[in-house]
Amino acid sequence: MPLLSKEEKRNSIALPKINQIDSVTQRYGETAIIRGKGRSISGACLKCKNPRCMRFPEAYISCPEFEDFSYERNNNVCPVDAISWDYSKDIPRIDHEKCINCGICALMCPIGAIYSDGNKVYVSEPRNDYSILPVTASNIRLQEELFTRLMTLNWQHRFLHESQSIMSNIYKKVSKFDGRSMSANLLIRNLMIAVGHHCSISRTGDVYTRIDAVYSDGDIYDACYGAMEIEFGRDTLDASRGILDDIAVLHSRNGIDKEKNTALVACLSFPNKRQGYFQVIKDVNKVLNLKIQTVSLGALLILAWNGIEVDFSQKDFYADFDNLSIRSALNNNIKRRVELPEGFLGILEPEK
Amino acid sequence: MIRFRNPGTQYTTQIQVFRELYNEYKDAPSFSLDDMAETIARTKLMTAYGYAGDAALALSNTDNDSLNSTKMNAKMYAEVFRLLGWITSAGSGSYPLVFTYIGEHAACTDEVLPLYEQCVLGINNPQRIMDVKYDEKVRFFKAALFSLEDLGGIMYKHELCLGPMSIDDLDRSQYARMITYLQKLRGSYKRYEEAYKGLCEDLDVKPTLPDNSTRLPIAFMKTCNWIDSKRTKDLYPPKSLECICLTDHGREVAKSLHNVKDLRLDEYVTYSEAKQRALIRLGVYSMLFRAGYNTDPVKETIQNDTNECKDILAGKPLLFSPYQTLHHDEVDDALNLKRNHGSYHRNRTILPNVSRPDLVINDLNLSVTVETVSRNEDAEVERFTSYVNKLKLAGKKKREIIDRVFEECITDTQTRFYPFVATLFRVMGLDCTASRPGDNGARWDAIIVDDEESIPIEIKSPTEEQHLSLKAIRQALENKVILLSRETHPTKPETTSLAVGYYLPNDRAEVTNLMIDFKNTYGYSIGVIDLKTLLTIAITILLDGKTIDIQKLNRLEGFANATFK
Ligand code: SF4
Ligand code: SF4
Repeated sequence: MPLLSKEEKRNSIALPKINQIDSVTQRYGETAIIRGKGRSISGACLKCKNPRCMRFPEAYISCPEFEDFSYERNNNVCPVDAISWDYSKDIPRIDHEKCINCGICALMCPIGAIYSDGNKVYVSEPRNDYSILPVTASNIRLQEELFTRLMTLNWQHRFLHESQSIMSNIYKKVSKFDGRSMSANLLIRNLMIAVGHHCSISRTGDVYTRIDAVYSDGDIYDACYGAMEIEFGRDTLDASRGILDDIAVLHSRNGIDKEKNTALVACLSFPNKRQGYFQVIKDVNKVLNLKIQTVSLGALLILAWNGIEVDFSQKDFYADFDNLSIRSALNNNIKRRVELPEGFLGILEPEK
Repeated sequence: MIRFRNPGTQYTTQIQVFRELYNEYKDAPSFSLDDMAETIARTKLMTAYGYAGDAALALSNTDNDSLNSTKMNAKMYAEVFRLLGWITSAGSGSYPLVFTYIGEHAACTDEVLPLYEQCVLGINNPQRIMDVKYDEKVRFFKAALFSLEDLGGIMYKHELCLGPMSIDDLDRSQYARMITYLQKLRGSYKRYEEAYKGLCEDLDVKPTLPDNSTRLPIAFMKTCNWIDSKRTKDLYPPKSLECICLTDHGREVAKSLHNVKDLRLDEYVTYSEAKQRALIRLGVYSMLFRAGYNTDPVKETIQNDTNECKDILAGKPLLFSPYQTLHHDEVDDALNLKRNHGSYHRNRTILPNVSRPDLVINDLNLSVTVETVSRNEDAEVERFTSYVNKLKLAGKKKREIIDRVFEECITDTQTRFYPFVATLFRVMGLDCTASRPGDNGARWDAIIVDDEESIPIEIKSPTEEQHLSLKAIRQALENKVILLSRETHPTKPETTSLAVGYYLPNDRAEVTNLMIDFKNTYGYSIGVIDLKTLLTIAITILLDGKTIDIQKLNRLEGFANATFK
């Protein structure tokens, strides 16, 4: 008796009615514009057989440099399970109740079919500019070829222009995360992937692995990689202690040289001066000669929303007691000023 | 009472483990617990002492305790998968195991949750597959959903033990009595406490046992998204309790279950062989159908079997999970499944040679003094000295004095314990002062000040944690870094940084590993002293006029142990 397969109500895929695609651009808050042969159409869902907006390829959630790291295999793109397949329309559906507007799904879509109006995230349905075709091997191949073409165009995704209200809404939702759930770690992992890295987080319920996450930029010749601590609560000193623990364990047990370990602390908001965290980061730099970089959720969002592939190897995101801000690193990356006031939600520097 | 043992409750890990097992053993005639342990470790789904993969397995193979713990791990997953009917005993004993037809579907499907849900509903008793048998005849999760429905959509976890875990759910009057009983219990925490105590006495078990056996069912129900948690005082005032609440989805599932043909073993055995075989097929296919599988390829069989069982089903959908009720041979046979195992090759790789470092024990020698000890006399040292002398005059032996003071400290909070530890170091002739607790998040709790080698001390009072933990070791490292960086007191890189607690760490192996990691990576030594050792040193100095080798303390690395010479 052979195995039965899941009832696949998928009966169509879509392809743009455009012969040769020359360029793609996506502006904040809009779907992408696809240009080719004097024609331009707006990005809409291709009803992918393997929707990249929903699942990461296995390679993204594992890091070659950290062979022995016991990592979480959940490869959902959405950290809060807000995106699922809508069989009635044959496109992804977004549950607006759950969605936190992080944009990761949009950034993974190869044709820029997902966008946000600042409040809610939508998937654009294919209309007249698209051919709706049956799911056949040859049509799937055509679709895959198109993806390869889109990939080589190397176009820049943009999702949202940061603003105080957008950030406040996201922070409000994120602060309601159940501390015991994986959501915070998944969110950071997926954002790291969105800014061009491989990233693995430790498995849910694994009490032996103290390292929260590891990342790598996947560069074959001169990779930048490191351990990460993720701290969404107030106990940021635990993060600085944790990262020293991580570096030592990896150095002494797993052959990851401490000098090569470009360690990161990812927090919800920058801790304020009094919490002692930045003082300790400075001490660590002075005594151990290790520059631990700090990024906030908001900073990662801004980088991702601008389609930036972040390079951590230059330690641009190093902040300590003497320089408490990563604003200039952000500005340099997105090539404009971040439009958030100083100290806002502790995204680029401690709150006032 | 039905008891759920307490296996791995994380859904995503369960699925990951299951897939890996399936990949590894799908072509094997059967697999054992050892095979499972090996796969779980090798695929990095288990970690031992901070190592994963082969290293973890190698470590656990060289160490009796953790060999057991790896196997325990495997056993616990075997338990879950067996409960879900995804694997089952190959022969008549509990092991080895084989995958079931339902299990194969679970391993090969992207979205397993709908099938998982069917399998959770499939758990029922009595059955012929699990080695543990209970008296209760119940399809527990259906009974739990119905109870939640009938009790206003909310229950306290222990009501599961007092209610649906302890009844025959097909006996309507028994079920109704159970609901009334729980309704009457509500409103007073005291009443509940007595009822729960009564249950434990009847079963002759510790109160933790029924409590533990709610963990797996609650995890199952949460995974299926049938329930949420909510803290409320409403059920058993004045106590605020974490309760479980029916979700919309849970309500829907409960509703759908009112109109099914719920077939159990007792009834199944009364039918003819032809009907039994038809019921098996219908049971398996209806589970898959409800989980979203396309049953068109077996449409005809379903049609014929439905006809055969018309009178049993009376037009209702069938709720019957054959693999969770019957031996797999019987089920496979009805489904006409032939197991075909030809090409399987077991490849056991050679494990790397990883050994765990031995515990570092350092003796802090006490030697007889030649000169009189120069001690910084102060009020606290005086008070301690006269207390010890008083006990001695009362005829207490040294060991008894140490034990007595030790026991008196067990309730100490930071405010008492930090200065007390500092006093003990001063008794040894060191210049030690405690910081005010809560003074600064990122600084030592006490410090031994010296012209050349000051030592920061991380202290954990017994009310914070009785056994020192990794946390204290991490903080001791941080103290060292801070002292070297801020240069508030003179010290050297090779001077130790101390962690002092009531008892030595429970997990000494991992603490040792971490101290070694710190030394390897940063070059700093951490020393660990428990209160008993500290008291032994201090009181020996007072009573026997001995002194301690300060140089040994300055270089302490690992756990201290006082010996008398
Ligand atoms: S939204 Fe984008 S990635 Fe997702 S299915 Fe549609 S085209 Fe594919
Ligand atoms: S925007 Fe973020 S939260 Fe919303 S559906 Fe996409 S990935 Fe999920």
